[in-house]
Amino acid sequence: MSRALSIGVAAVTAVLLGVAWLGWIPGVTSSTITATALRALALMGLNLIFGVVGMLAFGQAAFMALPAYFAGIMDRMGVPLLIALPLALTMVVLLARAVAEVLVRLPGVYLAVGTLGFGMVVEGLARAFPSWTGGASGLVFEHGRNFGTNVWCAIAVVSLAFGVGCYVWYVRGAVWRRLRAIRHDELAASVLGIDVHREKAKIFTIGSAYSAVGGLLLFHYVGVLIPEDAGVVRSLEQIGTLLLGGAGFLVGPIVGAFLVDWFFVISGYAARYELVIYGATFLLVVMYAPQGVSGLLLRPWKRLAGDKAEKAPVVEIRHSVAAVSSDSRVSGRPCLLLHNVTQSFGGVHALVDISLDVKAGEVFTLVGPNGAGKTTLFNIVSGVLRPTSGRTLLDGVDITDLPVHRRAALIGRSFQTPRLVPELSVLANVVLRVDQLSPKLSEQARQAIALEQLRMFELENLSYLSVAEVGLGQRKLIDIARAAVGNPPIVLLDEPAVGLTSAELMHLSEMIRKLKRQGCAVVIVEHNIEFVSNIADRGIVLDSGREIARGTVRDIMAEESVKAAYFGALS
Amino acid sequence: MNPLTQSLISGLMSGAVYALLAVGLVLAFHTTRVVNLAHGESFAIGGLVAATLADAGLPAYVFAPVAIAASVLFLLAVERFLLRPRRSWPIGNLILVTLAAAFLTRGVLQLAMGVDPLSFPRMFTGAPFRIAGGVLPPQGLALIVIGVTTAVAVTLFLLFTPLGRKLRAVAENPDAAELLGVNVDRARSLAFGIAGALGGLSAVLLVPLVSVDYQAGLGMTLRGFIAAALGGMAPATVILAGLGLGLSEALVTNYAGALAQDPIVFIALIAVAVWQSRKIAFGGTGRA
Amino acid sequence: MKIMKFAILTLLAASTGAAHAADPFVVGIVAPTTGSLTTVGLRQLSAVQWWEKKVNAAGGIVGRPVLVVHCNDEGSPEKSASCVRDLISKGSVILLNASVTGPIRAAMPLLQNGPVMVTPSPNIVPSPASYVFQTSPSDVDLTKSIASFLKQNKLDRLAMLASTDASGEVGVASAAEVFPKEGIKYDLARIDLRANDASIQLANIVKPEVKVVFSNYSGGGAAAVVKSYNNLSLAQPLIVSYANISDAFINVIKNDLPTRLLGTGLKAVAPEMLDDPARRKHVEDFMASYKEMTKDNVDMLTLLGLTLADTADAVLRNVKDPRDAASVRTYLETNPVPSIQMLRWSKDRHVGMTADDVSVLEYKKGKWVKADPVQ
Repeated sequence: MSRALSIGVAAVTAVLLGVAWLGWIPGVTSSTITATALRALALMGLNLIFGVVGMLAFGQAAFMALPAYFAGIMDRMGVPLLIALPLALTMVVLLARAVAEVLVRLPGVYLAVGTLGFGMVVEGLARAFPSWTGGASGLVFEHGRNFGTNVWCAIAVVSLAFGVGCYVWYVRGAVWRRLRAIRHDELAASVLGIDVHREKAKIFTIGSAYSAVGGLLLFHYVGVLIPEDAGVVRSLEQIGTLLLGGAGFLVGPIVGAFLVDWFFVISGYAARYELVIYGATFLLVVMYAPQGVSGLLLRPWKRLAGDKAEKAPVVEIRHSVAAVSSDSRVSGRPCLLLHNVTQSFGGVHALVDISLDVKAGEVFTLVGPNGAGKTTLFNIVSGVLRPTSGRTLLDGVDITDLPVHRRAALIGRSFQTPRLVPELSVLANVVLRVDQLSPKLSEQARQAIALEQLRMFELENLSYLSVAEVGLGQRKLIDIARAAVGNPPIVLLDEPAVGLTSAELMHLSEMIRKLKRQGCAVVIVEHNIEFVSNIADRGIVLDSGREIARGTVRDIMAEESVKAAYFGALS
Repeated sequence: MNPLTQSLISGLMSGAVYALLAVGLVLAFHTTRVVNLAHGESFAIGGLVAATLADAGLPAYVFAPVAIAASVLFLLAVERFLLRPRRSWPIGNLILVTLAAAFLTRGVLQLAMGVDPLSFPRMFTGAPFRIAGGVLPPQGLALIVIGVTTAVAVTLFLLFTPLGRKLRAVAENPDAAELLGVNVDRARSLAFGIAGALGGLSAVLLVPLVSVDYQAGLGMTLRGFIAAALGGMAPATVILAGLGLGLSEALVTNYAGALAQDPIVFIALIAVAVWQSRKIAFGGTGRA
Repeated sequence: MKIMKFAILTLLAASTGAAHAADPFVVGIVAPTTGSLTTVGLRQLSAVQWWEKKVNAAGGIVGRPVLVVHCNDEGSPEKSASCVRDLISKGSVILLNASVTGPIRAAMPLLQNGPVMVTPSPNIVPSPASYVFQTSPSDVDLTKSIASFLKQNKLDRLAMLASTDASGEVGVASAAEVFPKEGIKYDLARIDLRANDASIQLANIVKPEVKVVFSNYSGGGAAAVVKSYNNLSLAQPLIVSYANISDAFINVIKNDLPTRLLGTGLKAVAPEMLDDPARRKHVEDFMASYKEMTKDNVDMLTLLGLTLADTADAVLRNVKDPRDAASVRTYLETNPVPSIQMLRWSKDRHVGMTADDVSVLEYKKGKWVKADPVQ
């Protein structure tokens, strides 16, 4: 969602809040607004973590309750409120940071289990130490009573506005693209140069800080905190609220919190049908409006507005292209070296003792049937896998232990099925790569570089289309153009010709030649023999992880063993 | 009475329930990749149907099969009408569909069955067994024996029969399985049907020892999910994980008290989750 | 708000068929009707709604109809606070709170300037300076009644089981306050709310010399305690807590009744124990009329609901301007309110009953009666 649109919707929400405050919406008073605004503020954290980045965090309620517990305990010890509140927040943010360090590495369901467990531990501890936490009967906060309803309403709305402001300021441009790339495909994101774990840890911490501020204020407003408030049921309720509002949208948490609170106020009239109505509404939303109410509301608007917001005028800064390009390289210099690389998974050998030397300015091909180990080799070069033994050298530097995202500037990689972020425009997908290579440039400069890159590969007419509007062949070409941003010494292409029309094949050949002229070493895996014979200089033939031939393309294609292993397998 | 023996007995009883629930969740997970959050509703439905029929004076050999059949039908319907039409959806969205189904079921059960907790007579009665200072009622023995045997039988079926292998093929790669001639829809129906039977069975065995109400489902899902996650969602290990979870909760309760149970058990859970996923990178797509 | 009020008034006018709608007395009630405390909330709400219908059928109070507005707090403090704010803004002259400890405590600070809130939770001991009044005995009173029952039977040992929720926590504190003073030695074990089985706890605390076991666990989960008791074939009388004196609870455990099931209950549960014939008649009339209207039996929770309704009834009938919270408070502090038993508040005590109003009851032949002695 574009920023202008978000601000527009935020403004409409503000107006609605104003209308609600004046008492024009049945069931809404300034006290409901206070609770709604504070819950929305806390939900913005879950929205960042779960809605925007897609981490299954099942323990955010604990991050709401913890700062209130810390502040309450300090208050009992006699620490003044003005010290206790910031101190409690700091402690929770540090704790969130530590939890993130351990948990964000966990994939999908395991992250859910870990965060759920965290919530249960906090709930259990709160119950187990009643002399500190008030136990199951609850911890009472006296200070909140010092403020009247309208003061609280103002505190809540200002805090929410501040939270929205920080969000709009932070989650835009490069950050937004990066987060959506992680959500869509972590592997592709790290190959582009994004430090996925660090980004996720950062978002988990920032999101938990939102939860902490919202929770700290909310429980001081409510006046009592019980252990269940930290538990898994509350966390699940929050996820439900967010989905109803629209996960991933700036206004999703606000819409969700408002709808749930409003439903809660008016549901008194539904009496015993309340749960059925809630269940049915929730089911309808997840089945027919997976983007929540915000998604429903924004859809017609988006259609009207088109995606004009993304077509911000791009200032031409041609010279900055050089800023990301590496020095022009001398063709023929050894570039990528693999020394005796072996990779085994459990007892299975995927690659056995493979050595390679690829020179700058040449096209090198990996040939072999399915399961020969070609993709494994790509994964080793790009750093997704660490070889069981052997070394990888690039321009004479040992990169074997370098993590994926740190070698991304040196290695561009395209995938067999292009891994573009579907909700971003073609241009934004390319900018995503520029973001990682030259983070210090301005947004405009980065856009200009990306546009220049598309222009160089004659794809600029696609720039402002969304990925969904582009054909598969063109997506593959875009993926390759993106991999080649910044002229990396090595470009890895995984079956680039599959699924391309003959016109697109010519386009592809032209792109590869261009890369070659710029001094890139292009390593290519491809089954289209005619295409490979025309484009590649040298190659290696693999079968079941072992090298069976190497040399110029002409030579290896003539080998009997290759014909047997390769063409045999194909036919 | 010997508290240690009693803890082991009590731990095995709740462990058997954990194992049954976890195997049901794993079956659904392995055929659809969906963590079925409506799984526990099959327990609630089975328990409430059995209690209602028992209250109407029907004998156990009538109400138990009918209750299990109701649970089976429920999960078959979830698969057929909610999940199957959305096969191409992202897994996360499908999980939420099952969560919504759980919420709706809870509401419907409240209307249909009322809010009061219910129970029904035990099927296995008689004098309790006394073992080394511990006491085990016949219903508890049935819970442990039938529960664990059924969980193991389903696991053996999955691992060693041609049909079970087909189910697992669906899990690994539905498209490839389809090409190999496996009817993916039928395989998924079968998996959800068995899962429903396990949910209903656990209700029939457990509810006489406790009670059940309209909102019991999500809690049971959570228990099964914790055991399943501890066991790495693999059919054989989740049984051990379930029994281990039950036993460790019982021992912690015996030696450290009920208040220490959640903090200790869940810190262990986090440690296991971290340990189990130490080699998985990039949201599980590390082998791309 | 005005639209809502208008809608309510129109509905009311239409339903009562009155030519001109008199301004109704709005009585707000917070009760959890979903979530884990559904039974607690629904039973009490139902009694208050019975009162609303009965009063309105008789032409209201001083010519004005009564409008009971319910808010479901789902047992959550946060929602409870929202409920109370909402009910106050709807013009409630008196608030009834049929929820549990945490949510009630969340509501209390919102009543600095009234209105009066009445709750039957024994876990709540309101400050005499507040606008909160409690209709039950306190949990300490309930614990004292057990202590005096033990003393009458010349026993000085008890095994006690308490859950890990708020009532368990309050129960543990009351036991520590009451039993040592009375020279009663007790062994305590806690049980988790998710537990299927209480046999570990029972194995730890029910030693051969223990003659009586007390389970403070309230709610549906308490069934596991009674069933485990049966599993272990324990023969000692089992005392269950205040909130478990209900038909719903008996229904769950009817296949596993212990040899002797006792409970700490209000005397009104067994009306023949009431000395005052007027109170006995009040309770018996309620039981009959309630059964006729709802086809449901009265139990302890319904009776507690009636204490709320009776308090509201007394205030609306006797206080000149019920909108003036201070005069309502003064009225309740200076006049006993006749309900199922006499509710006697004072300037120093906002708890309506004492240990004398409680008795250890025994479940015999489908009825709660005065408990027989323990051998």
